[in-house]
Amino acid sequence: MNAPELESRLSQLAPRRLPAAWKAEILAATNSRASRPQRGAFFRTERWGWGAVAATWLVILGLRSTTPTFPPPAGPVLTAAELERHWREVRHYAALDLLPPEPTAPVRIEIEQEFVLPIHRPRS
Amino acid sequence: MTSRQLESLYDAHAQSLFAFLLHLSRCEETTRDLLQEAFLRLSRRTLPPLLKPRSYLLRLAHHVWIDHVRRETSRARVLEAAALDPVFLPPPAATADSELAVQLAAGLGELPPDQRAVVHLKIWESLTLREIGAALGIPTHTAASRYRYALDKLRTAIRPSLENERA
Repeated sequence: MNAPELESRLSQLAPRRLPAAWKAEILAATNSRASRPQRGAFFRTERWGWGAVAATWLVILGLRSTTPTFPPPAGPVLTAAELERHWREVRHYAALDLLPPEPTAPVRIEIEQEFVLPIHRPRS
Repeated sequence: MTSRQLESLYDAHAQSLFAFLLHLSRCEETTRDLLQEAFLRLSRRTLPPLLKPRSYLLRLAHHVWIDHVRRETSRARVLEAAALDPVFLPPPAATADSELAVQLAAGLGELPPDQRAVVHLKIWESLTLREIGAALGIPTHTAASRYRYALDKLRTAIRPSLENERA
């Protein structure tokens, strides 16, 4: 069967008819859904909305960049002489390997004392 | 778009869109949803006067179909594989011609949706291959090759029926 004959046979096939009841249903549903507010419709109609969003972000970023990321020192700032004395003291203790221990929270000892051997540290 | 414009477009073109979408989906329920979606998209657009509204609407319907397939790929495969709603009216009488028509309809159902879309637009919408390419968003030569492959497959599908007719 050649192509024109095949096309002619195909065109004799009749597509099904559109159900008549659909018209009212589809048009009614379309009208009701079309009148419903769409997602993002505000930004499509109100162009200034994007400007407001951008301005808000700029304010947030500006505040972030000017806000210090660590708290300022609580007490008064040390003078140069006081700093010098502090570092002298640190160097002195470092030379003796006797830096004062950092103040830490007391640690609760869970191990029973009788199993702990006394530790003798050699004096330097 | 006003509801009056929408109604006039429905009256003029809904049958074509229905046949096209039914041919692609082969499911009446899906076709209804797709037709609804097509008219909803249409209602939200502000259209300039169209030179060829039918071609525009067929293109819109094809986009709706593509979106549907992308959204529900697994379900579309199930629909493809299942026994589906008839796309064509049954032939009037049980003759050799009607048997051939049944074979052709079955052969069309076996075609991949891309080829089926091209055949539908060529045979039942009488679009040129260039217009089909524009409607489906494919080059003209791709539309032509899909059409040729489809006709070859249909020829193969109806061969037993033709041989019976000759015998």
